[in-house]
Amino acid sequence: MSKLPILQKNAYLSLVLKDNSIWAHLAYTDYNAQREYILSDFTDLNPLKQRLDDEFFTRKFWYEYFDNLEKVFNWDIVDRDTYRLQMYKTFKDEGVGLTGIRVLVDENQKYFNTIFASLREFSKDIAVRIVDDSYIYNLLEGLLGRMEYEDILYLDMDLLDFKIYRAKKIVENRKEKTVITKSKISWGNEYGVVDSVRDSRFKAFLASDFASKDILNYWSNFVINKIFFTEDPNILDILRSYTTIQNYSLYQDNIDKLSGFGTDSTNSLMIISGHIPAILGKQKTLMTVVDGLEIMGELDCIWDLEKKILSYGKSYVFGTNSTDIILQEKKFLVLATKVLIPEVKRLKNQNKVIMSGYAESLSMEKNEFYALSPGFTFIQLPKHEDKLLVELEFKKDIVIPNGVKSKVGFVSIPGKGRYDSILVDGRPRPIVYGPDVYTNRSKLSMWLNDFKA
Amino acid sequence: MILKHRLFEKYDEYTFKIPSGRGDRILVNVGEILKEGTDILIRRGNNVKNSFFLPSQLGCTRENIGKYLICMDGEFVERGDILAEKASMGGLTIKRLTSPIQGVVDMSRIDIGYLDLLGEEQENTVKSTFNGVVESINPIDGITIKTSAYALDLVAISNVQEDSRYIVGEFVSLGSGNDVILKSVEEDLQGKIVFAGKRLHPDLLRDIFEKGAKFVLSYSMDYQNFRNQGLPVGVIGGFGEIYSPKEMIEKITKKSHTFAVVDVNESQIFFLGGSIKESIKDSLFVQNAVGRKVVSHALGNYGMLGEVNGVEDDSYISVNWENGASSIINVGSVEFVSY
Repeated sequence: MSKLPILQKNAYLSLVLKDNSIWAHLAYTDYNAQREYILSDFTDLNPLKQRLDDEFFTRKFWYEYFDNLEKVFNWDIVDRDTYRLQMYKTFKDEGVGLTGIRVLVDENQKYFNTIFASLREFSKDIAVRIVDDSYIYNLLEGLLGRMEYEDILYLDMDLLDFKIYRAKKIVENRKEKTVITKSKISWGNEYGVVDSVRDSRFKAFLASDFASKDILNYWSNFVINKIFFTEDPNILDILRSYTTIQNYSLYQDNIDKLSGFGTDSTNSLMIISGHIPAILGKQKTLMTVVDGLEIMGELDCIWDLEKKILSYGKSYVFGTNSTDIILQEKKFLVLATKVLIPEVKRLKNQNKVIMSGYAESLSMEKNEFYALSPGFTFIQLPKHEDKLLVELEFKKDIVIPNGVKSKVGFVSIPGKGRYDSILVDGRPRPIVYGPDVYTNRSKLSMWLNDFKA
Repeated sequence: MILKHRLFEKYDEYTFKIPSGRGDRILVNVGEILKEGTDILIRRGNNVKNSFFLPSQLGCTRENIGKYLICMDGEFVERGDILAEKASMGGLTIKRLTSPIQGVVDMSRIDIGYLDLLGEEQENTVKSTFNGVVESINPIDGITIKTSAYALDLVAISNVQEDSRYIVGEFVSLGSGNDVILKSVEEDLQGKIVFAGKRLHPDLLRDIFEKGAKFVLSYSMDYQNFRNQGLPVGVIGGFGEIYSPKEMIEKITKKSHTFAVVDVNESQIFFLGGSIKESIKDSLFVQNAVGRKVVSHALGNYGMLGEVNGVEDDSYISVNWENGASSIINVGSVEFVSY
């Protein structure tokens, strides 16, 4: 296969079809003009979920989809004269045509075969790839090789499926090798998810009074209709509890695969993806992960809520050897969160400052921040166009387990490795939930500061 | 991009089967064009004179009914004969179900908990309520017919036996669909697919099945009742005391006395033939949100129908709701719908 000349202009469209949703990313590069960007779109297929296996989900659907995508991206995509033979226009310049289209279809997507066949029928020139375990293994192995991390955890959290992949560099017989593992929980249908909240273990994590049958009705509507946005505190609390239990069950069943993440290595990366983080938000999602997987230490967290890593991760891994598009890190890696979970002893006084720090750049004055114990503090860093230097120090006797250090410093570089937030978990270990919803409500209010249930 | 959910999806060609039993007389031939009112077959069978829901009569689970039955399927029983018996308290108390009439025991619905007593044999003519073509006739599949249909999606469907992946029958609506009722005024619902209205109460559900219904459809019901009742039920809107759009209920009740097929695997009900006024097939995608119909998925007014009157930014729209209120709501909390 021919390689792409690095300076060649290029426009490539990658679609990810997973969990009855389509994520579209059109990547454009022109290194002569120093232009590189990704246009993104999301389409929820749930309104068609009972029709994905019939005539509607055929070539006609795809034609209509690309026709609309053209308008959204303001990009000439469809070749209306010869769409039967090659449906997309050959790339000419920015805004006109594509060098290729790739569709990644998740192996667990319902009616996979029908969708696969309809794409094939629609155009033979679309590269259709299957996202299965081996695809993720290759992607993570590649990222481990290309990025400066030694331990990567990829979490895909959807209501019906929880998957955790871990790729870790280890040294065996003086040789470095990569070990990749997978842990998974899958519910057969929505009823299992709805009914799971009646489990007695669930109540240990809940902070809403769950006595009312109405809450079960709200939760069932939320699960069955796959709602993408809610501000209802009861639903958010059920979702947080449910996610914590799923992560905790995964951890207990796969302790040998998942233990030590964050402390085994000084360079750990967590990639979070899926439907749940998009609803829960960063702080609560991280709490479910940290508590469920019993994570300590220091790590970076990337939020792949738009499936950009799934779309273009491999192109990035292949670098200049890529056959679709050559992308620099800055466009496909979204903003990261620095996660710091130190060892905190139980303190006599509540709300004691355990960490203080600052962020500064050439164009910005010094911004100071701090974290309290027992808080689960999420600090939003200021938006920055220049390099942002962040330095923070933990107070006496409080250290990060990996490397046993009390000072952390990093630089957020726009266009390379950019951080938008810091999470400091100042809760003393072990984390204890329960015994009842009222105690949980008071604890969560203290941990999250503004928690309402 | 946003896809619209077509609440009634038109299928120009829909093939279904009308099962024919022993003794039924088929009145159509292969290739024959059916019109509304065409006689399709004469169905011979015994009418249901009495139905008993054994779990509530005996105080047992559906799975254990077999242990307490005294009669046999097809047995002729006299008034006062014992049909089922359950001893409890170490045999000190006995619950008995006796036959109130003379009739034949029918256990065809015993899996869902019902024991029926049949009366005299009757003949019923099944008439077409749609235009279509007879594709084939054979003793296994019955009569295969191709017609047009409107599909309505069900959010949930419960407890349908393995051998009943398709339920075919006359669709009837109990009243206007807008009132919550506890008992059906219709006396005979044998073999019918019944729309119970905007909310299904467990008492009404039992009453409908005692009157011989095959399947019950409701806009909403309580989730716990849905999971515990053990009968074939389909839910259109959702669970709990949710809003049911008047327009939608009206369109469903208008389908009363037409033929319908419940496709259990697809979780859809197909209303055969007919037409719905606003059935112009436009784009699957929402081109311009303003003027579009939406159904709320927000907790405060879940299920309520509204019309978009403005776009605030990429994520928020302002909506005029059917109850006269208006609000700004996140796009992720609504579903764009069309008919």
